[in-house]
Amino acid sequence: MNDNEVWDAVKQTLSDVQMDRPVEAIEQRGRARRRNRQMLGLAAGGGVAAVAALALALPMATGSGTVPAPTGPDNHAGAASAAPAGNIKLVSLAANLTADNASLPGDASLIIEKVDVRRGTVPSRTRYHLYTDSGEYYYTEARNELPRVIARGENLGNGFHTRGVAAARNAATGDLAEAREQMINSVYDEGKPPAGAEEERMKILRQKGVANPSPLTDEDRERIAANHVWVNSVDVLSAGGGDPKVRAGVLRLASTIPGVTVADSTTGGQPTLTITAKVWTDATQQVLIINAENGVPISSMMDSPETGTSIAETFKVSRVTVADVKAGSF
Amino acid sequence: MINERFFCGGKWIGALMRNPLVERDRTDFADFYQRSRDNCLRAVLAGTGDRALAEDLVAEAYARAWASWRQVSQHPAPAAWVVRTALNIRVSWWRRRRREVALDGHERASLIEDNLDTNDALLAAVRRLPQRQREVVVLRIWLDLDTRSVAAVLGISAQTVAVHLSRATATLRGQLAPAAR
Repeated sequence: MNDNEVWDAVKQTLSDVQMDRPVEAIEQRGRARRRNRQMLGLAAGGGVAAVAALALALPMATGSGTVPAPTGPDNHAGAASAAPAGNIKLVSLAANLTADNASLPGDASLIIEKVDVRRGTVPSRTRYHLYTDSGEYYYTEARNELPRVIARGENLGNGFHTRGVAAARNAATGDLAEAREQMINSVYDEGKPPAGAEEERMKILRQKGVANPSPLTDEDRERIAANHVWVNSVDVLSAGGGDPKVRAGVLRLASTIPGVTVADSTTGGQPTLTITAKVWTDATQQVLIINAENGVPISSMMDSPETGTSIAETFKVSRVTVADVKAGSF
Repeated sequence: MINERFFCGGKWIGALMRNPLVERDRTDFADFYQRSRDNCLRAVLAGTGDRALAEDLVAEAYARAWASWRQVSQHPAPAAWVVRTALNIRVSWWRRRRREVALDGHERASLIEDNLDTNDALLAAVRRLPQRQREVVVLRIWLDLDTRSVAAVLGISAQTVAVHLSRATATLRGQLAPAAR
């Protein structure tokens, strides 16, 4: 019996042991540890490290894509059109897409996303996202795993993308104000915000040592709403990226955000639109490049100077059938 | 001073916003947890013998990994970080307990009771290995780390890893059924 056979025999002794604890429980405990660490830092009077991010947590993050820098005369982030002109570009492209009544091939959108996280030594990786038209979501980082993930029924869809896609469709042809609310609330279960969120915010602030926290103003709420419209819409641009009506709705919604500017650009020889969003409280910004003729996302670059992090992504969006992917044909 | 990125004029604005960078971390961590949790539990269970304790230790180690994910994600073998952390937590827990109560054989009794699932001679032999050999075996066998990675995680030379692994394998081979030798 050689060494490998011995090791295999040893490994087999625990092959039926599985860790059943859900990731949510782990994260909850991790957040508590981070908060406690924070509290200790405050108590010690030392400089406080990054505050635990209590942003709305989603089981998946998709949809931003960044990549090759656009080239050409309009290629400077600072040369973006003024907001109204930018809005016109987005609305105009959205109108063209809405008029496209060609039947949609396949029954799912496949997004192959190449990610390069520039923070230390995190290596580049490729992610495979399959969003079915019926609301299922399958995800893997290995191409040959995707058929198996589908076969095992590892559907990660939680309704968020279904609600977001519905909001985008509504935005394409329906009441934009209503669709905007739909998109903002798409991250919440049943599409509406949880009760007691403001009380929870106050409680956390008091734990942080703020004796009399101020209530949110209308301006604060509008900034938060703009943030949610943008981030949710970009997620949906991935989830429904194969459908021109979804892309149209996302563009219409993006056109309503004050912190979004648009510039003409050229990327890899094709006409593109460079959309820059500054919808965070710090200097973080996201630059999204889409095809100027069909709105398909090409790339995204997300920069957060304060944390020294940037994420560059490129997208390959296609319509497929679940059956083909399951059979390994994609 | 509270981080100004989130805290503006007494308001907690940033934390109410969605940040894809934060969500990206969460995705990365969830994916890491999904892929590695079973093997980490098996590795820690092989070293401790108590299923419930092992699961608690691993859960706590993953929670610590999430609390410091930006650092842990850059570790050359994050799963090994989890296993080592879990085993270190166990040591801390045992040291605390030793200070609090006299040695009463509680842990040893727990090991025996837990043999319901793992009472074969082979696994018992893993647990009887000297600590360093056991660590090498756990990282090599359950986490599939190569010799160089095991060396990096344990802070010893690759040659030392090879020696530990060779001795441990010889011991374990001896525990296998005679017919299999």
